[in-house]
Amino acid sequence: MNGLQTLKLNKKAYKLYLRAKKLNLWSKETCTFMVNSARHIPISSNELSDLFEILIFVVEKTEIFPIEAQFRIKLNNKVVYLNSSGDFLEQRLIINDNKINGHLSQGPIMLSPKLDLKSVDFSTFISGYFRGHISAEVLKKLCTVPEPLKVVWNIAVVRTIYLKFSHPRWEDPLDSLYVVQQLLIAKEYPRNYVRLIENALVNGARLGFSPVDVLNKIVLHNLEMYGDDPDTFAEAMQLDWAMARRLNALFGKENDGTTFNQYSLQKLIIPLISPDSRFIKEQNLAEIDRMFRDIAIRWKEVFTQPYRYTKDLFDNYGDIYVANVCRNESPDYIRKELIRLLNHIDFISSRIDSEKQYTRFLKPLHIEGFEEIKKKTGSKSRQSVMRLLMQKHFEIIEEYTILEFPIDYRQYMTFFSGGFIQSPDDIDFFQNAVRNIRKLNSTETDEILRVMMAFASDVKETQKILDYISTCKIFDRQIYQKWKDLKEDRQDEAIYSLNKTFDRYLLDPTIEISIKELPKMERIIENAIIKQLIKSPRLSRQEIDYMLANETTAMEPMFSSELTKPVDFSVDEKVYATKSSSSQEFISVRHRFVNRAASMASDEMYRNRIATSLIKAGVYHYGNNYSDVSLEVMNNFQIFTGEVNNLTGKAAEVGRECASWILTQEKVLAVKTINLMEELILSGIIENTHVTKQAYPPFSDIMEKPERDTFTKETILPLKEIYSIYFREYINDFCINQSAQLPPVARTLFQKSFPGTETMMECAQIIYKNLAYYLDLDQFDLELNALNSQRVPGLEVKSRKIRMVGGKRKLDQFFSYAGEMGYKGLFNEIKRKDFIPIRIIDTTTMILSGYITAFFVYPSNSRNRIFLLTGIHIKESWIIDLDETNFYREARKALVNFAKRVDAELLCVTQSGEVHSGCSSIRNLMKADLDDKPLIKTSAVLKFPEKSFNFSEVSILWKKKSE
Amino acid sequence: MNEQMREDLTQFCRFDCDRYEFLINWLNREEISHSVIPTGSARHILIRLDKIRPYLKRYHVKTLVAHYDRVDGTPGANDNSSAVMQLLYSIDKLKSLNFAHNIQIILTDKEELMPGESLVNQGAYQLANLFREKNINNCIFFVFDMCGIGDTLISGRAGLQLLKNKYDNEIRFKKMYDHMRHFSDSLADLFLSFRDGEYFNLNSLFSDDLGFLLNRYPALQISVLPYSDALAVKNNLFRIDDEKWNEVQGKGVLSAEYREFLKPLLPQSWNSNHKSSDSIERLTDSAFDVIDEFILELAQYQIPYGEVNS
Repeated sequence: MNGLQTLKLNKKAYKLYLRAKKLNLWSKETCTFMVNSARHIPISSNELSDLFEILIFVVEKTEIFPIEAQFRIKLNNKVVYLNSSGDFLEQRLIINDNKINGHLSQGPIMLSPKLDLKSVDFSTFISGYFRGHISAEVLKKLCTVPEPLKVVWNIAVVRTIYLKFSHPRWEDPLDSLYVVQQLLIAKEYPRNYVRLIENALVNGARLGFSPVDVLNKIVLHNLEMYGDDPDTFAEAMQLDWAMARRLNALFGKENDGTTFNQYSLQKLIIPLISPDSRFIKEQNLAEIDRMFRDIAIRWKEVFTQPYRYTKDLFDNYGDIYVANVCRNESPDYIRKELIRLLNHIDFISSRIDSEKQYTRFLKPLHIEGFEEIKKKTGSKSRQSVMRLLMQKHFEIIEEYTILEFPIDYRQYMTFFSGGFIQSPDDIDFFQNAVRNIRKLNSTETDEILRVMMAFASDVKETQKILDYISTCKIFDRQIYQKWKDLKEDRQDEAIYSLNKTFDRYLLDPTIEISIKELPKMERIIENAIIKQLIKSPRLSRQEIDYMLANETTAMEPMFSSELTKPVDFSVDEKVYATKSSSSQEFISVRHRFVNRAASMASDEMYRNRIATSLIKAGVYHYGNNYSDVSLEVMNNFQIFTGEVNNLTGKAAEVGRECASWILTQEKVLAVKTINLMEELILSGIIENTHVTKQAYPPFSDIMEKPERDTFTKETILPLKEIYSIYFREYINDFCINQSAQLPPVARTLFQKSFPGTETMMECAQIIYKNLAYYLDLDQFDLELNALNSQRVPGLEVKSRKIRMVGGKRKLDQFFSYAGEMGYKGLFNEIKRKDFIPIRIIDTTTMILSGYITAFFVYPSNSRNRIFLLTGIHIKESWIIDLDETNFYREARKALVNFAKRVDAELLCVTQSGEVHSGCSSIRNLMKADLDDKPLIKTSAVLKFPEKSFNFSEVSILWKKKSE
Repeated sequence: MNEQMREDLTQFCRFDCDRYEFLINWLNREEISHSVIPTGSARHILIRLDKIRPYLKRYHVKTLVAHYDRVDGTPGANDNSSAVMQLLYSIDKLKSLNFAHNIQIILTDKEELMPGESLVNQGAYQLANLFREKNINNCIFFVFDMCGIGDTLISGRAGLQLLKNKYDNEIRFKKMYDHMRHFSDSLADLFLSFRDGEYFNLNSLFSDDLGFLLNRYPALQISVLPYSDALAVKNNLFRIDDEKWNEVQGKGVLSAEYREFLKPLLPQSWNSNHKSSDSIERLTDSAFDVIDEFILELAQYQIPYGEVNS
């Protein structure tokens, strides 16, 4: 059945078709659209007949046919796009939680469901750069203007403005026209004001201003200020336009909305002339013009320099400052400040000529920091402080830029972004404090600095903190405050006791904390010790505080005292060469990854887009095999509306199968996923993992060492951590936690698992495996092995003393962070009565190096207890210095010792190799040990909120000797 | 390894040593009763230890086997003089046990096959054949081979693997496979409780055990390796493609292809086997301690006869 026949099936549609045939102009085009569209959209659809009606209406009233438009028709939970010939373009699912992108501040308009979704949405007219987007509602209004308005205004001009230049956010101007008209009549303003205003509307619209804004923000403002004097009024109206044209002239390009002028308008002129700007309010017009000329000339100079990163540096950093300065400063200061800012941008961009350097500039932290300052300088009295602060900030940044962003820069930016820098003095104080703390060589620099910035106000005070820090192992601001108030002789005693408690707390899980010099501080001291011991880059101070505040009684020691008796042993150290024979391939592969990641464009839609396209890919893939089912899924099931709980039967199955396919199958997908991960990590989209900050130094190391033979253990290891551990962690996080933030479709697919196929955790492992393969993660181990020197006979082998001891108190709830297993805050084992975390402590260095985790389970049909090992989680950076095999054998013996003590019949280990350890060398050792070992069936299936572990069959590592 | 043992080993590994003579003299010197079982040109030495405490009939007789022959022109310290000495020196300790241990020892001949010889020429095969003819059913065999270097006990399960492959192809091997599997499983407890359960199963090793297995006697090879070597072998084995492994095994364990395939997989400490460098200097005391301890452990470990019946 062709389109016309279809049209005839619907009385209303056919009537409209006949009407279209009678149109004087564009009749053929309109009819073609109707006939063709009827082939793609059910003719019974009200949306389609509405569209026909409006289209005819538009053609009749405006005599324009929107040739370049795309029409968007809502059908159930999807939207179908047609072009102006009625041909099918594509269909999309309606996703309700996409973020909307702004218009002027954030570049091109994306089709967004948050725009008013009328049954027919003219906002999807696409004709050039954000031009010609008009909603049906506005268009209707413009075609049915009340007579009184028609008398004063030339409505045809207004309508043309909308049809040519409007974008979806433009509201209809009728109300504003009415208000202005009333004012013109009431004040008896001259008739030529109307023409001036209409000109302003046309000019403004060309530059992207809504007529409503022009009327409300410029025209009304000028009428009130200069309305009584026709010449001044005309001049003021002229000035607004002149400022835009000045830039136009400077750049010598047409203001067609696609040139750089559009950028200048957004970033400079709009803040300057916006109603809340003081720039055009407080000076005479000639003076304003003069000032603006200065700014515009400097603006042109800066932005026409051939530096690569000028615009990148300015966006979301300089422009925020511009808006802020315009709002709060007098015109003269505005000029000075903007020129200072432009000089700053010019200077920085002249020094940053590579992606590496741009990454090091840490732009996101600048934005955060500026937002913090804005928050804190709300009151007018603080405005001048803010100005001075920013001037100082610009200076210090320029200094750091000259020094090529040394390590202090990162620290400064952490403080800047954290809101610690509140006055210009804070910057001086920071620089002094950093100098002093460097001398201490402490690993807690950030925390010390933070306390210093918070407490110290003079040199004496600063020295006191330094004295405390250099002698006491526990650092906490509350303890420090109490300690500071003690008499001097008691201060020494307190530090001695604190240090002793620190060591004992780690070694003895049953210790009671009590320091007589610091009474009633037990809880704080314990928390402070924990913060010192848990130095995981994967866990922020805030997260630690949160976890400590949410402790539960389940963490109290509650297992056999046999487990809290330590087992001590020694492990040999490894000897490393100082330089590797790293292959050029290794270096080039890493360079490539880093380059690609650094060149990513920051796009807030990125994540959603990728997720959506993954789902689409999955659905289409599925559609190839089971087309009808796929269509069913796409059109009818709640899967695409996010109502996950309603998923049943085939829909659920299909959806999940898609997820499983998406996550497991395609090589291309794996490669894409790698890109996504890298970009997410490096662009800091992964929140709270501090990966960006962690990634920064090793990446720079690798970028700065292009020659052969320059890698050391210290540079390779952090890279390995980033690639392997953080990826693993990110993937787990992505699949479990972050997926909650995905669009509904993706969320559904990521969160569900179904019998017989992969669970999300397994999918996470599969993704990780793919990533590991494509990222050549093995290469890190090979490089490290190459560095591992052969032991010279006769040379004394150094060894470390290790203690293993079961512990279940506050410290031990952080067990998953002490090692590098990759699961972050995933499990709640600590709250289980049968869960046993065993600390691994390097007593030579007094480092909590990791945990061994175990459970008690029972075999089927037996009361004999099994000591079930579930994982050995140790710090890679620690084990790398030791003979891993030696460690594993000794740790295994220690575990047998524990099993014997608690009278367990068997020491077993779960068979899921992936979760045994985040450390590849330990995992390999366990794999070899487990191979071909006898199995035993257990009745245990342990369920956690996030994951079920099926322990129905476990491998036996040791068995109690039968009597 | 005590001085006496070292001295004996040195003599035993001399190029001009007549090993059969040496063993007979040694046993006579120590006044240990023994008998010689000839099969073809091979002379096997049987040492029964049931005079002080008779073997318990309801349990299997655990027969510890070590081949005493060597490749001509090599010292054969690790292959297999060390195991022979370990067994000989365990006799005294076994005798002094105050319980019935059901252990007997056989030192076999003709383990090392000459080019062109097949498995039926192997001494152990012929011996097992003889046992079958004599209707001896209650024996299980622990074949000690390559026990001189390392600290980690290795259970060689090539026989089991071989039977499994055969059973996969031909149903008639099912009974034999089940039999061996049962035996292997029942021994697991022994290995798991020995030295905190630190041992490895390696499926690529075999020795005299094959001869016994093919005559339907449960047999297991025992070896010793340094832990790192055992790990390396395991990791090498993980990398082998299953199909390739089956294909090579299909050609027969004595085939040149199989031996060639196995070569790079073998542990580093066995590189000197069948070479003049297989000297006693390379042996380690820890290996002797492991075997000494294991034999005593084995003495306590009884396998009921009814449960594993051929």
